[in-house]
Formats: sequence, C-alpha cells, structure tokens
Amino acid sequence: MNRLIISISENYLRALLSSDGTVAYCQTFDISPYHLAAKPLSESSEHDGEEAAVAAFNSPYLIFYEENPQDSNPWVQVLKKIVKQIKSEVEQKIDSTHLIMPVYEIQIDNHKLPKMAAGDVEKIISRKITTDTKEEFPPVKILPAESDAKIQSWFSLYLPTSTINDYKKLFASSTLPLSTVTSPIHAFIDAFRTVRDAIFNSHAIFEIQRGSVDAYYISSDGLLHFQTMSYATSENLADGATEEEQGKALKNKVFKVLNTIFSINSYYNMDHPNIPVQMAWVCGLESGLDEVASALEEAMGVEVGIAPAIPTGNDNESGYVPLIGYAASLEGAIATNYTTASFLKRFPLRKTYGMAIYGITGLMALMIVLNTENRLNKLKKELPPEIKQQGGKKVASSIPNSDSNLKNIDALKKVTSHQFVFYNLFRELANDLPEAVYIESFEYKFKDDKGVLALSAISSLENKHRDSLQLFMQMLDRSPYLKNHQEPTVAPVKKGEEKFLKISITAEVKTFEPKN
Amino acid sequence: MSRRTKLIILIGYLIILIVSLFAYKLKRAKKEKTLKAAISQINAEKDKKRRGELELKKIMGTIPLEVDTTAIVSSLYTFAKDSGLKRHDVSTEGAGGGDKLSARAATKANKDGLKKSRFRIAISGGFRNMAEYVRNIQNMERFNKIIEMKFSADKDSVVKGNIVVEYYSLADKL
Repeated sequence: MNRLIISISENYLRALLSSDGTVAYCQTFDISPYHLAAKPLSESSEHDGEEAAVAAFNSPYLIFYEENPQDSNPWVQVLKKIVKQIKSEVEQKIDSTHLIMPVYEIQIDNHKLPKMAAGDVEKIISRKITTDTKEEFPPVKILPAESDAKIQSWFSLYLPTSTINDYKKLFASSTLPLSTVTSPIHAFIDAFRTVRDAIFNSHAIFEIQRGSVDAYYISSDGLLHFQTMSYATSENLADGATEEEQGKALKNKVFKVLNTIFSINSYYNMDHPNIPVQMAWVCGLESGLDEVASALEEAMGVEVGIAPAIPTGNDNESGYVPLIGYAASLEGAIATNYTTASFLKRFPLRKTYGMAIYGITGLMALMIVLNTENRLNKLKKELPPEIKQQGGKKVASSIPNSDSNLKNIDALKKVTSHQFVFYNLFRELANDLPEAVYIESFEYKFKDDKGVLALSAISSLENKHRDSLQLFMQMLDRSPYLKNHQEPTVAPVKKGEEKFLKISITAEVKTFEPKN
Repeated sequence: MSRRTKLIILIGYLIILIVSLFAYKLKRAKKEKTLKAAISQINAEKDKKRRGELELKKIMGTIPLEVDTTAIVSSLYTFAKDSGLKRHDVSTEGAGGGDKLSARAATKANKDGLKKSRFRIAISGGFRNMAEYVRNIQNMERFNKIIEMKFSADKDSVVKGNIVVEYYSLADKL
C-alpha cells in the first residue's frame, strides 16, 4: 500500500511516500512570498513578479505565493502546485494521504492532576477545553508527562475541528483527500517507539531545520518537555566561497545550533531537575548534523545519535524522521489520528437542544391533531343533527322528507306524460289509406304505460286492387306514429256475394315527447 | 443518562410519534371520507328534493283539486255537438248502466296521490266527426288520458265506438 505522508511547517512541506513500510520517495518543498524572491533582482532585472522570482530561484522545489493579508494560509495557493509536482515525481498510485499538522495549529497545554486513569484524565481535559472553546467534542489527545507519588502531569494536544476541516477541504480540493491527521509530537514519539522501552529517564530529540530547533524530551511512556526555539541563520555563501569560508560558516551555524540547544536544555533542566537526559538525538534537514552531534556529545556529556533510530537506508532520512515514524505507525495500525466527531455524536442532545427537539416535534404533532380535528368538526357541523348522532351513517334514511308526494313523483310524471295524439293517426289513415282498403275495426288500449293499437282492415280481391294490402302495409311501415308492429294475420272473408281479404295487425303507438 | 441512551430514547420517541400520527391521520382520513360522502349524499338528496318539489309543483299546477264531473260531461257534449256526431252518450264508469249518466263519477284515489275519474263515451258518426271529437277531447284544457278506444265501421261508413277517458284530480291528502 502506498501511503503519502505530508508534513507541513511554517514555510516548507515535506512529502514522503511509504510503499509497504519502505521509503520510496521523499522531498521537501519550500514556499516563499514573491516579494522576497524579487528583491535580489529588483535593480538588475527589468522582470518583475513571478518571472523575476523564478529567475532568482531556479529550483522546482521552491514555490512562491502571493502575500495576501486576507488569506492567512499560504498553502491554499501553493498546495495544488506541490501536489501536482509530487504526483508527477512519484509515478505510483497514491492509496492514501496522511498529514502531520504544523505545530503552530496545535494548542499544547500542561495539566497537573491527581493520579487517575488516562480515560478520566481525557474526559476532564476535554471538558475543560469544551468550557474554554465552546467546542462540544474537541479533538484532543493526551500524553503523560512526569509524575510523583500523587500528581501526574499531562500534555494535552488540542486540534480544533474547524482547523482539521479546513485542511481536509484544502487537500480534497487538491485531489488528495486526507485519511488521517496527526501532530508532529505524536509522529516523533512514533519514530522512537522502538527505543522507548530502553528509556529510563529521558531522551532528547532535536530537529534542526530552516533556522529553528524543535526539541522533544520523551520518556518511556510519554512526553516530558517540548520546545521550539529559533536561531539566526547565516547568509548564504557565494558560489565561489573558499573551503575556509565554508568551514567558518559551518562552525558558526553549529555554534548557533548548540547555543539554541543549550538554551532549550537549560529550560528542561529547570523544569525536570530529577530526570536527566539519558541520550540525545539530532535530525533535520540542515547540513552538518554530524558536527552538531559530536559537539553536543562533548558538551552535554551524553551519547548523541543521528535519528532515525533505525536507519531506513535513505540518504536524506534524517530530514524525514517524523514522517518515517508516522508511516511506520500507520503500517502497524497504531498511529494517532485526530478525528472530528461523527454526525450522530455531534447530534445535539444536550438539555436545551433535547427540550427543543421534543418541544418542536410535540408541538408539530399537536398542530396536526388540532388541524385535523378542526377540519372534522367543520364537516360535522354541516351534517343534520340526527345524522351526527349516527356518526354520519345511514344518511339516505335520515334525510327529512315531510312531503310524501315526492315519493310518487315518478308515478305522477308517468300519468302526466304526453299521450299519443290520435288526430295525427286519423289524418294519416284518412289521407293515405290505399284504394279499396277499408278500416273494419280500430281498438286502442293504454296499459302498462304504453298504448297498443289493434287494427283490422279489409280489401277487395279484385285484380285491379291486388296490391292494395301491400300498399296498406307499406303505409303502416312508413307511419311515424306506429312502431313495433307484428306480422299481420290475413284471412279471407265473404261479405254478401263479394269476397274480401281481412288483415289484422297489432302495433304500439309512438308518443312524441316535446323537446325542452 | 448516557448520550447513547438519550439518542435511543429520542429515536424511539420520534418513531412512536410518527407511527401514532400516521395511524391517527389514517383513522381520521377514513372518518373524514365517510363524513364527506355523507355530506355530498345529503346535498344530492336535498337537490333531488328541491328539483322534485319544483317538478311536483309544476305537475300539480296542471291537475285540478276537484273532479267536477258535470263540467266534464258538459264539455264532452259540447265537443260532440261541435264535431257533428250523430250519437253521443257519456257515463261514468262504475256508476251503473253504460247509457245513463250518473250524477257523480266513480273516483278512486291511487297511491300516487291522484284521484282518477273514468268516463265511458259511446259515439257514432262519420270518421271525420269522430276524429274531430277525439281531437277536442285531447285538446281539452283539463288534463285527461284516453285509456281505451274502440270503433268499427259499418257498411254505410258510419263509425260506432266507445271511448274511455280518465280525468285526474288531486287526492284529499294533497
């Protein structure tokens, strides 16, 4: 698994790629504001801004940024560029990214408490930070310091959630989402995990780089003292400097470093007179670590080693000690990770919020109930009282109907409906009856809401009137006043000497309803 | 109380609240639906009643309160005279002989709240006279209905027949 470890300091960034515990890549990127880059060329070059800066510092690992008073974090400007460069140089897939926060982002405090379990101490310190910062779940880690019979000192390392989120956003925007976040102190403790069991008193670790010394005094189980102190860096030597000049400059630097270390050590000795330094380690990006180590060994009278404690074989390993330590602890799944509280943990359940949730939801439920009941009551008011008593059931039977004649409305309508107009039929019979056809009988009956007509006619059987009956039937077929006539019955009859044909037919009369 | 317990209680409370509200709303929605259906049914019934009342009023306006048999008979004789019928006899049905006129028509109140009075008319005359007579009856202002009509023609083209006419009046209970 390829883990990219990034350590951010004030003005430089260190990146290390650990491929299954082996250092595959390490690089330091310095950042500088443009105005510092432009200064040396301001008189000799017509170029300005970035071009001048690039001309002055022709190094791919020196990145410039615009000094913007509104933007306090310069990494916002430079990180994308650095990430792009790292990705191009690594040429391997980065599985996860881990960040060692700059030490200035971490609030380190010392607490003296009666001896108790580490869990209880963490709770007490968390509550104190909560009170101070109003952050309910502060990402805080504790480290044991010195102790006596009753009192135990603790270091608390508090990294505000907003800071963690800011860096996570920053890296996410640079296409490197952060997996874990830790502090340089934890990274250093991880780097010396292998030698901590051998510590009886304390080991002092001095990281020397870019004009400052970060000192970590560690015990077998924690941290005794932490201090950062700057020293004035020497002017860069010109390219044509002689060996004598270079030696003099180195001695000067070693002297300043030693002086700084002695200052730090004197603070340590004042605070911890009973815990002498058993061994010292030096590391960092600065050159001349061997000289510093030998001088320190001579001056302090203790063994001085050059970190890391277990060499990795990488040429620049001393400059990446915390990164190597963090990578090793990640490999062993024992790394310290600053995490922000999960959503459920952050979910407000304190008394005030709890009461608000219960109150609001209860009120909402009450409003829904009241609204529904109000609507129902309005509907109930629209019902007649006798139906209200039955709960809205059996409506039809409960509707008041004092006028019983309404029930007979259909019967009345039938009685008063339009009846068949006989005059039209009589006129048709008078006008259209075929020649030699005589109506013998006309019988009409109105029953079951329909009028039935039984008609019988006689016709002469003479040759010239043969088709009279057919014409009579056609007349009945065409009649708009008759319908559903049945097949006629035909029988010969004799009247006197003359023979006739009698035709009887039954049909329904058609009633014309007026068009409204 | 631990934070976990508080969270469990809150979630439980919210679940119970939501389920209770849902069940309550479901029950109330059912009742609301029943009430709305009842109200719309009542409104429909009221409309129907109102329409019915109007219609009844309209119908009842066409039907007189009393039978007034003599007036009807008098009108029928007038129609017969105007139509030129040779013979014309009117009797009330159920009042005895077919040829004799009864003083009162036999009336029968029906379930529909109407009194029906039947008149049997015997006529003879020409076809045109008979047709004109029937037209006069049907055009009469007084509401009636021809229930039965029978006629036949003899060899001299004289039409003989009987007509039963129903006249309506409102029953007393109206």
